Amino acid sequence: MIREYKFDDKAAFLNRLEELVRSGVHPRRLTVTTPFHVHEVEHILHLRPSWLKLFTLIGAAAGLTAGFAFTVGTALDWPLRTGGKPIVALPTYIIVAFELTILFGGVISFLGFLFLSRFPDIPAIVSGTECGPEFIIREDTGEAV
Amino acid sequence: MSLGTYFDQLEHDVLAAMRKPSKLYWTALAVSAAAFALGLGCWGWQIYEGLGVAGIRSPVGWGVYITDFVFWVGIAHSGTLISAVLFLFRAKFRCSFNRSAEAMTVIAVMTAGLFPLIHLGRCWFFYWLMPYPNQRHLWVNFRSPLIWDVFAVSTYFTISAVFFFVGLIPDLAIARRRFTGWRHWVFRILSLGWQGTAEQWKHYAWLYMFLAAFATPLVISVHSVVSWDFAMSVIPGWHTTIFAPYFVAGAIFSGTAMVITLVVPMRKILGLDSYITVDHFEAIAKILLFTSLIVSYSYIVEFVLAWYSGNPFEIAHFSFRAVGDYRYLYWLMLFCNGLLPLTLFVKRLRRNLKYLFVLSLFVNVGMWLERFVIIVSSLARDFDPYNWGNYAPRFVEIGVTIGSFGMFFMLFLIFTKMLPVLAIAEVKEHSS
Amino acid sequence: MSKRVTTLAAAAVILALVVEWTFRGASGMALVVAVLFWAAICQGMVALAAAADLSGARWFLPLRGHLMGIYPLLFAFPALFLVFSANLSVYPWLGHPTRWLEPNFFVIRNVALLLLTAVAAHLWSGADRRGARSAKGYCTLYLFSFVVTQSLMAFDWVMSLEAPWINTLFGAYFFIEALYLGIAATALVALLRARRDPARYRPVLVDATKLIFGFALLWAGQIFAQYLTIWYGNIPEEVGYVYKRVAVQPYGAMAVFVLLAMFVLPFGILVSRAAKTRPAPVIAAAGLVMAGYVVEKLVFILPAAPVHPVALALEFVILGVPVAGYLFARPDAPPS
Repeated sequence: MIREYKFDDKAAFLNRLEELVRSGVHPRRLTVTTPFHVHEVEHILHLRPSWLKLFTLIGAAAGLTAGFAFTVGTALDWPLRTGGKPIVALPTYIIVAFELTILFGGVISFLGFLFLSRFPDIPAIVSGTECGPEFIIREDTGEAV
Repeated sequence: MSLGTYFDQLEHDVLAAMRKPSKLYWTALAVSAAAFALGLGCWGWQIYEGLGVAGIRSPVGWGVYITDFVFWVGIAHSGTLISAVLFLFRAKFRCSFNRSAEAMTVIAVMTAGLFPLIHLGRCWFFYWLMPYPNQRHLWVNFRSPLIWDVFAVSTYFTISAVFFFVGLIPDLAIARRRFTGWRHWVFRILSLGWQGTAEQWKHYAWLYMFLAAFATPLVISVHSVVSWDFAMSVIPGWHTTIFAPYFVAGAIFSGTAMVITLVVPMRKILGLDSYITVDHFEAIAKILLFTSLIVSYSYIVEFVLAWYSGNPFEIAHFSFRAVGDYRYLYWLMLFCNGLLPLTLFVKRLRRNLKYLFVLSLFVNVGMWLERFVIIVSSLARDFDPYNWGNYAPRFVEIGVTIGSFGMFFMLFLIFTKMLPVLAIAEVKEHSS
Repeated sequence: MSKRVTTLAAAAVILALVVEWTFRGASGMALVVAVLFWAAICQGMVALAAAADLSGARWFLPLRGHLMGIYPLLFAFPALFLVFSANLSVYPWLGHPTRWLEPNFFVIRNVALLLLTAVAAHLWSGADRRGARSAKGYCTLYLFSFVVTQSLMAFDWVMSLEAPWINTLFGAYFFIEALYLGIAATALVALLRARRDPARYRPVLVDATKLIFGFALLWAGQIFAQYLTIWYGNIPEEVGYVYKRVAVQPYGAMAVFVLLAMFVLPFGILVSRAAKTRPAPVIAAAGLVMAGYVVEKLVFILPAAPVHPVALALEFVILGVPVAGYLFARPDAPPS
């Protein structure tokens, strides 16, 4: 059975959530939806830190490596002197590597977000579940209906 | 008013803007579309006849098209400043502007991105700008600032679009709940099934922060790279180290002016006065004033140091800017960018929306002229007098410029009817 | 408190005068390097407070009074510049002056600007204490004079050593560095205070270290913009300046140290969340930034003018004692 508590007020919602957790309800049995991000919920429900940082780091590192590897590699592939600059003109390649760091970092973070949050949530899209402007706590009491 | 009622009212007011358009809207859209069509027509004529129908010749090989490119990329920067940089600085006033500003960014970058293509002449060869393996073993010249531009502007467009979409997800969920019919289905799919659970918000908050953290150096680097299109040359007026921060400040300056130009009427027409307040506009006006001061500082430093250096070419060039063939544009530019914004030191004027709107129009003109003056005057008078020559834009270039404004306003008007113009979820968060 | 600071400042000026007289011109640009560093910190801290005020930043409030209160020391700098002005022979243009690079005008304008900065800070502090409406105006005046003063420190004091070489970004670069140093000093003060009153000062420390992180990137961008433009254009009259400081040893090695100390290491040290509040990383990052600044000024100056190491060390300490004494010994301000 799912017991639902709806609140208009953030403070009341947080109080109830704390009470539920303190009264012994396991955080796994609680589903919380809010109209905006509420930091305190993560503390109360003891949510594990997000793994998104890892995706960002990997993306940025990949971008930086790809940026330098590609620019230096293609310059050495056909060493054409332009404008009197050295073949491996690092000051200029820094710029390309910097942009690719940001590009890969941003895009891979976004893909990581989609992966971690299981988006697109096809069942939710198909069933048309809505989320309202209220703060909602759904408790799965585990009892039969 | 209880929070629940306020949230309800907020959702209703913002989404009401997306209801059936008024006559004024259709007229504005028609005018913008007509301008856009003119631009497309001129571009089509140029493709048919060749780049010679434009006014660019030796020695001024870069004219109005590059001016437009730099102008539109500059406009885009302010949107990222408001979304990303002000987010990192935890500025509260940001959330009344950030959605429109982000939309403006994406649209402006799209508009700017057309200009390298237009300027190519044989635009069907645009893919040569991209590094792809080919049977001639040719790669792009990564040492060229033009290629840095390709990477910088593509990255900027991608990250801005991602940031824009990510910010929209919770609001699309709200719109999904409130609309019916085909729009409901579009929002249902685009919102990816967002429910606002704690886990989703947890990942979302991190993503938003990382995107903001990435977008901030991007703001500075992209317009620095665009400025290096000029600074990497050796001609007086272009080859100067201050270009990077000068252009970035100028970009934020012109972009902020465009935000004011767009949001002042939008707020009135869509009835969002209680959400976008005069206090918010005053904060934006302060940014306008601050960036205007940086731009003025750059004008002064460039001019004074040219004279200090004793270099005859530098001195001759800056004299040409002030008293030469383009002097009226130069002085108008100084008036619009350096002098007029100083009036924003007066608090009453900062809080007067009509004044801000008119001022923003002058700044838009002034900043367009600044790019024109920098680009054209340096090319018109470089080292060798035998190589001097003036430039005047021809109808095709003017038509394409008008077309770019048409495209920008047309897409922005479509945005106001298709997507929520305020970041509803963020406004809720700040009001609670 | 203000009286003690003013006394220390006056003592510093007199001691610096003694050192300069002892070395009789052999000190070269030592006093300039010391003044550049300590002026950057003092002016930078006040500028930070001014910028925070004008932009309505709230994170800063617990330290605001403390940072503004350093302004009496600003009065030492015009006096110190006058002390230095007895020794303008380091400048190559002295023998053939122009309208701008002419000794009397040079000294008068720099002393006047340093004085204006100090006076503006004084007026601001006074108006602020009284709660007068003119405070915002004086605050803006201070920022204007800070920008112009730091710009002239760049163009006049350092760039003119290599006249007629120009670098239009140099002025803005110096005041960005002054803000950077101001933030580093703020972080150190916040760290110290956070040990006694963590609830109040920890948030300030976190924000200050985030700003160090951001400014490291900004600094790197500015130095890169200068280097890239000059390197790419490769114009003989411009590139020689950079060549002398990058390709010639020991300046090349010093330049690498500057890059590490002002960007790479602070960035790397402060990238993790945990590092932002622990003492060792913060002290390391702030210390590196400050050390990098000094070495950088030496890289700019040494190829063109001498700097006597003993004179530099003495004057560094002489000016440092009042500044450090003020920053780290001031008792807690009551909560504002």
